[in-house]
Amino acid sequence: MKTFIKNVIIYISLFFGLVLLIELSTALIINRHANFKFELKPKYLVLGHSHPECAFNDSIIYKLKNIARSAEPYYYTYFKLKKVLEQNSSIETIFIEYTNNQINPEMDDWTWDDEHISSRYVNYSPFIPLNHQFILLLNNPTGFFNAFSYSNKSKFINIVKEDYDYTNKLGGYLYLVRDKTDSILKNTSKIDPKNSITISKTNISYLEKTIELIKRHKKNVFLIRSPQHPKCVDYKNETIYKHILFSRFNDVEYLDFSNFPLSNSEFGDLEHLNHKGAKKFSIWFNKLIKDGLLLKANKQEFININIQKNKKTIL
Amino acid sequence: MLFNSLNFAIFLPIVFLLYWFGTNGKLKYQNILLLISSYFFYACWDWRFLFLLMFSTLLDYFTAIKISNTKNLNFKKTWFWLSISINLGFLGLFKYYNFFAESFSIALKNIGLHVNPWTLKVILPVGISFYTFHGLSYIIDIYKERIKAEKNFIDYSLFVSFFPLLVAGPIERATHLLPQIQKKRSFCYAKAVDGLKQILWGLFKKVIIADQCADYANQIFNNSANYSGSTLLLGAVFFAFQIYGDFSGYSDIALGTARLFGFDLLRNFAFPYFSRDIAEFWRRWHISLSTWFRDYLYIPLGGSKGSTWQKIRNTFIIFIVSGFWHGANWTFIVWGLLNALYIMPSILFKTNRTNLEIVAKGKYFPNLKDLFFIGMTFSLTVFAWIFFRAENLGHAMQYLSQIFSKTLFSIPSKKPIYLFVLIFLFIVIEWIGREGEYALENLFKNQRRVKRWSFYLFISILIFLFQGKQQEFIYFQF
Repeated sequence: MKTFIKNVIIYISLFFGLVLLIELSTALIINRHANFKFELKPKYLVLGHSHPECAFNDSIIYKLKNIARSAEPYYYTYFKLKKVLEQNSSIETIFIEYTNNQINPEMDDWTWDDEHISSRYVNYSPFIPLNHQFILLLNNPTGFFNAFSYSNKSKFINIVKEDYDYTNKLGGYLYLVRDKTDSILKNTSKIDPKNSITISKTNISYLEKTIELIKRHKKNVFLIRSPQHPKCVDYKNETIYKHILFSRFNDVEYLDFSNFPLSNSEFGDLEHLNHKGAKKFSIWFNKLIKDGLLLKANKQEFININIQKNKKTIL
Repeated sequence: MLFNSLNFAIFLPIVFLLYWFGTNGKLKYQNILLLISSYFFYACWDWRFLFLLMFSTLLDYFTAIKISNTKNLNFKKTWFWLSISINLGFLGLFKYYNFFAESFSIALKNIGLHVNPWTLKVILPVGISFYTFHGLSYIIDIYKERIKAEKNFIDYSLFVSFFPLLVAGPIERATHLLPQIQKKRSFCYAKAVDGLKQILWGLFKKVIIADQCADYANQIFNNSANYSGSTLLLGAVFFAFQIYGDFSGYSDIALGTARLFGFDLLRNFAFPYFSRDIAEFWRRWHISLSTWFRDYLYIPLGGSKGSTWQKIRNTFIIFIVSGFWHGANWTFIVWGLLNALYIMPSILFKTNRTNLEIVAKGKYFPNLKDLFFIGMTFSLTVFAWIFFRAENLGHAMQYLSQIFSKTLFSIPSKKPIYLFVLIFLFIVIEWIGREGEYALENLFKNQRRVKRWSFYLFISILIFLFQGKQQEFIYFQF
């Protein structure tokens, strides 16, 4: 029995040693060859989840690259940005979506639950150091092991195919066709303000890390809130949302576009703009940048004045 | 809890260590521990159905004692039929009730009567077909006085619920497993190593062959209208490897796991795709079910004795029942019928026991004749698998008509080269190891440890790389 257990332990150690070797060597090779360099040489970068993904049409906005991605928590954004900044010196300003639902505890689930870890982790795993991967392992061991093995297979295939181009795997503007706002509004009850104190810990801490990273690269950073419908249920945590903004991110400028006026038909649903809304907003945002938004001392006031000024034409 | 899950990878070593170190080598404690572990294993799916399993166990335990104790034939019969009816009643209720209710409703609709049948909205308790058959064989054996009723409730419960075989077999016999439960077991190094090797090979079959083939087979079967005949044919071949890898992989893991605890379960697969005729295929495929039907249905009906008509009747009955055992769908019945038709000539011409030996025993390659017949048998089984996999008969017919169209000779739109390589590697290993109980049994047996372990580590790494999302085993639905 002792011999059996000893041999099993040796075998398992050899197995895990090999796994670690595969993990490290494939990550090293991919890190060395991975291409994150955008041909466009963008000056502006938009990061976040589906809200900015659907709002910023980067074919309309001059020198802006939208690499926001649906259901992407800040954990993955952080590692993605690290590589993007290393290879794109043209970037001067980064807009990071900070909206109401990004402080919700569900954002932590989006970081490691089975549904999200399988796609997000597999894509970015070569760029996530082992100590950061530990967070995923602790919170969802089964999901992590599945994603870990799958990511190794995917890395292996990428190396064999010499596929190191990540510029098309980072997200980007999503042309949303749907228009479900009216039907959703029929079934939506009044928004009750919520003052509960449960917030996403991991997500917010990675937002802080992302901001530190940008500052280390000496780039401009802004937290933004993309347009959302006035009846969007996410507003229920507005008080806590603002509290976190002012207490933990008071050194970062905040640009709020949430009340940008759009009709119901320009929303895909209460949280996302459809392609019509995105076009209208992107044209307006492009003009705002051209008019020197980023040079103004009080940027939010400038945004509000422009919203008011254009409200008649927009509506 | 799936055999290919992290949960099982934690569960198994814990039970193993408790079993050999925490029971002081006492049989009673070992059996109690295995029973508790088995109930825990089952409850991980749905604890509510644990009560059904316990009820079924209690019923058979007590009726067996009643049958055994009475000399009165009428009492014997009453207890026997009570147990059979309740066992089959539960199986029928959970597995077949909706099918019959809906089929009856359709039949009435055809003659102009519209009824809205009441249907059950419960999931099928996992393993019900398997543990019911355990119980049935036990009761029949008691009734026929082949064995005596087991008085020890723990031992009997463990016979029904032993976790490696609980949810998808092999379907054990009391005559084979109960004596092992009652006998003192001590640790055997060679047996435990053999068990681990069989688990490894089972995982390879499941993760590398079945799950990878499933990706393509599902895509092709679920969108069959969009594919060419050649792609559909390839889809059917992928399904043939999927179902073999899935079910025989499960059986290998079950047998290997049982070996770790000192048990030898019934062999369930013996390289069926190397069969040279359908009779040989059925001696090598799902052996525990085939022999169950042979012993408890085919032989009591008269088997291959009697008139030609009786032989035909018995063969059709056994294959239709076997098809129906797999599920309440006409596709399974047609699958059973097809197999009955395939095997019929060999029954009638008494050639069904021609190929009893392992193909090309002691040789590296088969001769051309064997190769031809292996190919023919495989083609026939692939054809039948189309019915087994299809959603309904309409789907199966549409699938077949599209295969036998002009597009059969086009280049398939799906060509997963890596999967062809893996299947080829799998066939080669199975061929080399076909004289053992499972492919790895004798492979590298007399080689140095470095060689052996390198090969096992290579297999383990492949399993790790291809693991991905855990897929359920197909036979859980039966």
